[in-house]
Amino acid sequence: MYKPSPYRPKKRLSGTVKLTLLLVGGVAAYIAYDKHKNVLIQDYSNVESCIADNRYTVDECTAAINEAKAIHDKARPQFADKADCEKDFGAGQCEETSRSMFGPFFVGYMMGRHWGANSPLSQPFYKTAGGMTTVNGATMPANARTADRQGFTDARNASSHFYGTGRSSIIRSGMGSTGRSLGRVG
Amino acid sequence: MQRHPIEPRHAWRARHQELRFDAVEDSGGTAYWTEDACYRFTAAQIDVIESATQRLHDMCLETVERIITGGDWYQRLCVPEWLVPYIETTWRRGDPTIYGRFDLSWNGAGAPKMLEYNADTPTSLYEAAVLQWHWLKDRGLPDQFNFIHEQLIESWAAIRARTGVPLLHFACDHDSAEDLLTTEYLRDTAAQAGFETRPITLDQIGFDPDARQFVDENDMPLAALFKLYPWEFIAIEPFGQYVPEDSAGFMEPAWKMLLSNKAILATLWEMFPGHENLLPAALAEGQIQAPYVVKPLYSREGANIRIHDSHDVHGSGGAYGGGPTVWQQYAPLPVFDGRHAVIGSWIVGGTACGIGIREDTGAVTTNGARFVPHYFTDD
Repeated sequence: MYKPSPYRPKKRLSGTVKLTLLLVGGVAAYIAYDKHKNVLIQDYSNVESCIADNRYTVDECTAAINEAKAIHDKARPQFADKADCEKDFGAGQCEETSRSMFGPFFVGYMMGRHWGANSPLSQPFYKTAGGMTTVNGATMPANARTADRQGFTDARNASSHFYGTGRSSIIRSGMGSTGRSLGRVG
Repeated sequence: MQRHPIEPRHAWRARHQELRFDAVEDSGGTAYWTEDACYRFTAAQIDVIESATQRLHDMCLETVERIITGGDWYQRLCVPEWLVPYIETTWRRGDPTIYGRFDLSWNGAGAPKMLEYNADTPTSLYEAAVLQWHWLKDRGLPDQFNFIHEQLIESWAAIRARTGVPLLHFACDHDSAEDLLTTEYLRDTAAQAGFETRPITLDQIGFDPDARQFVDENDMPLAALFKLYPWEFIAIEPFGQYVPEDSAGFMEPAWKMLLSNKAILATLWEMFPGHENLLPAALAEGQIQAPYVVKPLYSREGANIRIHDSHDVHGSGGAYGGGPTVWQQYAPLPVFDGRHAVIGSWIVGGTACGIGIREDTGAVTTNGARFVPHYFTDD
């Protein structure tokens, strides 16, 4: 991880110091932004829909589906009983696995970029009656997924998670109190 | 390095109003920006500051690597155990950092000494990057060690290209004019580098317990958050517990917690004993000869610093007292015209790129310090 600083040619002074947001309207001037650009995770049923969505390169789409399938093979939900599997994932949605148990079919993968990762992250998802789930059992509530459907009608074969639903369960004011009691932080 | 009087610009107050600095100027009660004097360096002196800063930065990163691979130094750094795996994740993954400021004690001769490293939440960035740049241009002076602004934009662009994250939220306490200006300035430079950006106050940040994600005031997920807010505060607040779930990137990243803590002074000295840019420092009393300075591990704005010289103890009070401390050999700040000057040397995107000088009437640089511009000449 640690690398010494690379040599850089001498430079001492900024050529121009231009400000944009600060001088336009100060802090109140929130720049208008396109909601679609804020979508963090996309779901794809196959590599073609990923490529067609134009957010990721062909290589990224291929690597992501391979990664998701590998996770699927190793870690998909498994049930001793087919009926139990179908109860969670729907009739006809389960198959026998290599461990002679029953698990849901691979129906697609979700893909997103993470701050610290050099390439997009990917994992399989499974459809449930309530919405969808992942191998860790993280669930995406159906209301969260549908609330902003109108927000990504142009997303072709991809649907996108969007959590902006104004749900009352959101926890607020968990940050900032220590600073308020001590004053400035710089 | 000299301090000399200079005629203030006729309309500098109006200039600062244009640059939206007036709110900060007014909030302190006393004059903060000073331009009836300035500091002059030679190009050779600037070389010394630049290379010292770059070396200090490299030593700091090497020390983080040692802390993480060794695993045995967390306790002395008082890092909460439950945050360690997350800190290690952010370091191994290379979560990006945008900036940091070394405070140096130097009078222009010999080697600059690192007093401390403001690795997590440094301010006075705008004064250094923008205000003193305009001062130099308005005065027609030859040169200044200050490409902070361009380095910020370049670094944001590199972060954007690497992460692919489209939107950054910028959080701070909007009631502090200084914090707000620093944060908004950073947001401005990020926007110029192509990021979509949104400002948010700290207490507007929400957590969605179903989606397990931090959200803004419109319940939109935070992909990445710049926060002008210390990691050691986040660690003790209710939202700290959600950070290791890793749903959002943080800037500065959590690994900066290992550097913003003043135990790093003793750790650096142990790693690089005798290095010319470091002062002897230790985490126990009696290991550092007087005169020495005692600093709380977590302290900001020069609060709760005690100076022990041969016959006296003096220092600053403040809100950061109690808790463990570090002992550091005393390197008195140079005094020019009765003022103690500290050089704040900026690292942006891993590159030393400029300085800002603050002066205080006392030996400890505090909240009440004043910013004084600088320039340099070829000889």
